[in-house]
Amino acid sequence: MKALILNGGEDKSFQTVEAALLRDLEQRGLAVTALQMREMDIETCVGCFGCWIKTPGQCTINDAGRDVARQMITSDVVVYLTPVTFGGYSYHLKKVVDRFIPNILPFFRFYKKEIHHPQRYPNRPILIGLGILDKPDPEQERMFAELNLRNALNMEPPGFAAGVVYRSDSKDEISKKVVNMLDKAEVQNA
Amino acid sequence: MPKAIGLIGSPRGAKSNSKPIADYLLGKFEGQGFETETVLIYPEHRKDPALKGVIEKLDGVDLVALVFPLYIDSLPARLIRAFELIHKHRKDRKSSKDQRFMAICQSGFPESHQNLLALDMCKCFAELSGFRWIGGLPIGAGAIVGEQNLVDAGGRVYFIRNALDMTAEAIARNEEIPEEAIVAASKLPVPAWLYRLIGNSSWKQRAKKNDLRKRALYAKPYARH
Repeated sequence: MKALILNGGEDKSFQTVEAALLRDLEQRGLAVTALQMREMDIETCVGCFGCWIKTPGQCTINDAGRDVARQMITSDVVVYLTPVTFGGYSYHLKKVVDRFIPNILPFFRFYKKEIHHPQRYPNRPILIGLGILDKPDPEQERMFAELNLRNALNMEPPGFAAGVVYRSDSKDEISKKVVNMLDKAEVQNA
Repeated sequence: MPKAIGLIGSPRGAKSNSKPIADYLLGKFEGQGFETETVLIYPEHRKDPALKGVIEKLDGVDLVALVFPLYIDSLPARLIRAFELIHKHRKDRKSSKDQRFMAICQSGFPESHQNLLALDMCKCFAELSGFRWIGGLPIGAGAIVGEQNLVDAGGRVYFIRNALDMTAEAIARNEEIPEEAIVAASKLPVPAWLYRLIGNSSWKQRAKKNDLRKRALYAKPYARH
């Protein structure tokens, strides 16, 4: 079983949180890969829909974004680690999340009383959104939770969880929150 | 003369569904005596240094009208980058100038409420960056707009024109975007089931132009073995 951490931090200040994630995922028997998105030269999606109607399932931009999309859909657990940015993901994380649309199909269908795209793959990863905030901010925390919920509606993961940690949290507090999130997303021991 | 900037956040730039919406609105602003300018985040400002000019331009503006497509329930990545850099530039800046900020989010899904979260993010950005948020319009079924001028696009964009007209009138009165405009923007010219049918047929037709049959669209290049 594989886990993929996509670290969307602007600098190295997320290492404590990433380390807690790594430890807890490995303790559950998963082989973990952590990617530092700020270090990866990934073009942003150009909105051409080529990944749906020219090269179905594969982005037309031939760069590392393609490989991360493959790694994402072939993992069992994917963690979006990001500074909460105006309630959402940071640029460094979003540049690759936008490149995940090859992993869904172009067509429309009704799902939970809304129109969404069907899934391309029967096996999809559990999604975990872990945001980092300087201090409590109820409105941004609400948006971050809703964003992860809406992502789950569109990607239909077998399990998902979202939550935030604060920069002022101690290592123990961070560790507890991480364990709770993995439990909530039902990340089982491999 | 007050200055308004139409900020286009679509990766498709001038060929996007967002551009005609911004053009129509800026036309209304010009009629109210605004000097207007259109700024495309893509493709001109794909790299950080290129955004410097945009950031400085916003310092002197009276009104920003952002138009963008919904990307994975949120804003397109480069637009988030623009927000991050604009915020960094402005967060400690003291300014007494009243700068209004509005946003329009359009998406391929017919339910306009799928855009509301992205508009909340714009509000959050605006308020944290020293702009005065005056509201947002959620437009569903944005593909209906196409690249055509909204005036020439006829009845299929009637509700959108109506929403933009009400928005421009409210802005002229220095008011926030009214609820009536939000309701109008949310209306669909066709029922959701028909939009879905047309949409699905359109994907097949576009693939056919690339010599791909429907079955090929279900390819699974990254299937687990």
